[in-house]
Amino acid sequence: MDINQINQILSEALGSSEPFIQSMAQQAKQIEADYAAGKTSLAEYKDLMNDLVQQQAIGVAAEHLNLLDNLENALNGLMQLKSVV
Amino acid sequence: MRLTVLLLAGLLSGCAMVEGYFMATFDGNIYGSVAHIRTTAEIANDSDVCKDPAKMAPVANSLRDSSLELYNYSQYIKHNDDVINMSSHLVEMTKTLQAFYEKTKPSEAYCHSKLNGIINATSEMQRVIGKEPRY
Repeated sequence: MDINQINQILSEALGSSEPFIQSMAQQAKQIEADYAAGKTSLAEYKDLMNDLVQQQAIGVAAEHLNLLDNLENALNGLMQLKSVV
Repeated sequence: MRLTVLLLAGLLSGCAMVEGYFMATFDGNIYGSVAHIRTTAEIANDSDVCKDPAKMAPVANSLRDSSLELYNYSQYIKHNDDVINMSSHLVEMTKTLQAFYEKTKPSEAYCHSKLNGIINATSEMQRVIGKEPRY
């Protein structure tokens, strides 16, 4: 993956309607800019990039929890309909 | 009368079948704990503590402690795997924050980026935990 592809993906993420995704892209841009400007050390840069990985994992678990919640709501809805019949 | 009781019992037992089968029900302690961590990070991010590592160090300790408490509280709650998983990643984020402030004098830019990440993570956690069923 070259720098143009990376920037393309980050631009798409910045335009996401999901605030969580949008924030991650903003953070990635800020982390890159701060490191390039010498505002952060390499150790700090690595830790901040690792935090983005942690956030991604939180997003995956959150999406799974959201799916379970929707599934439970749907099943309860089906059972309520059955009870009405 | 007997038929009504039987129908009511069937209705109630039918509704009860799915409750908490896939996921734990809403837990106000978990939601409150995540809100507390997010609020601590937001207040720090909006103040000038990032400019002074000596002022930020106790905040970093507090964020690590609260995150670990959230993880420990969640750990043995049945059907709570996603919250446990999310909490473990939040602990990872705050543990490194605390370690940086214990061992070094982190930059202001690092401080703000770190807090922005914690705010984003906890906002997402609140969004999905807040949707959990309340039976």
